[in-house]
Amino acid sequence: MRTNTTMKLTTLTAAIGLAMGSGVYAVDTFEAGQDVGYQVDEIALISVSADVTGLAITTTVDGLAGAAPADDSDTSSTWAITVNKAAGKKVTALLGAAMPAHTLLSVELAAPSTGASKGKVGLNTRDTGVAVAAIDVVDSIEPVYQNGMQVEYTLSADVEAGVITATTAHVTYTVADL
Amino acid sequence: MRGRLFIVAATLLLMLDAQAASVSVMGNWFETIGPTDLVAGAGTDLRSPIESGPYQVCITVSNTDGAPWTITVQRAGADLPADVTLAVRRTGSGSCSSLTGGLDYQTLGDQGQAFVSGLGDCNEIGIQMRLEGVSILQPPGFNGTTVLYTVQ
Repeated sequence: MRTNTTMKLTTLTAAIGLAMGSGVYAVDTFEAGQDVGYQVDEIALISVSADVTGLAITTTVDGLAGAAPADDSDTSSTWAITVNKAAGKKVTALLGAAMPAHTLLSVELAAPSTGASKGKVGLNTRDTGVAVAAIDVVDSIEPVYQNGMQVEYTLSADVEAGVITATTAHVTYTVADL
Repeated sequence: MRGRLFIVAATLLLMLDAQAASVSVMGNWFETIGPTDLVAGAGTDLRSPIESGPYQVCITVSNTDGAPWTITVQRAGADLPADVTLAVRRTGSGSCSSLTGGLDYQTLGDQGQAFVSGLGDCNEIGIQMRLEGVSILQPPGFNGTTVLYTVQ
């Protein structure tokens, strides 16, 4: 009896060993998996369209002597933004150099669908012309991609500014965290 | 008794042999998406679709004993964002004597769907993958899943 039992176990073991050793025991390999993944980096890009030219103060507010110089505005440029971080972003504007004394350069950016415009914002101190620090022009920006939003520049001057030859102002826009 | 045990062993062997076709996959796909993947810079969304290389993955079917087989494919494990779909297609025929199907992109779900069929052993069937619906409006970070190939 004991001999038979030993023979049975030996035979079964040999059979199973033969089956597995022959490489046909394929239960674990009739399925195969493959990992697929993607990483989206944080994106915060801004651009503006062509440069603005031709801002000029050439008359007074009513076109008559005795009145203050009339502002001049330009709405020919647009801006675009792509942001994918949900924590909120803002756009700041920074004038690259001082303006002539007694002049003021202001800018207003139309808001994207997920942001809020700060309205018309002065980029320099009017009396001295010195540029102010980077100033918010749009805030509360949530994930969005949008282009064609209007940028309006306004040039203002006091009579104390005198006659100013054509000059260039460089404005840098930056997407920043709130 | 000994004879009966051999019959049991042989039967076991035949049963195992009947489900012996196996499939193996070489390769994965991980894509990093950033500002250079915007359609046209600031103000635009991410380009879509995003495709892998044409031979991103290779599938091998073996132990078929010359029998016909079909591979089904499905997504398993973690989900992708709701608006994102993953599709696969066959881009090569490998060393197969007979291979059909899979030439058009098939969007993957959580249920297996017939992908390619063949006859006999088959090496290095080229596979390409495609992501659609990845958008700037989805939060940045990593998303991943598993593509499961099953041979029947």
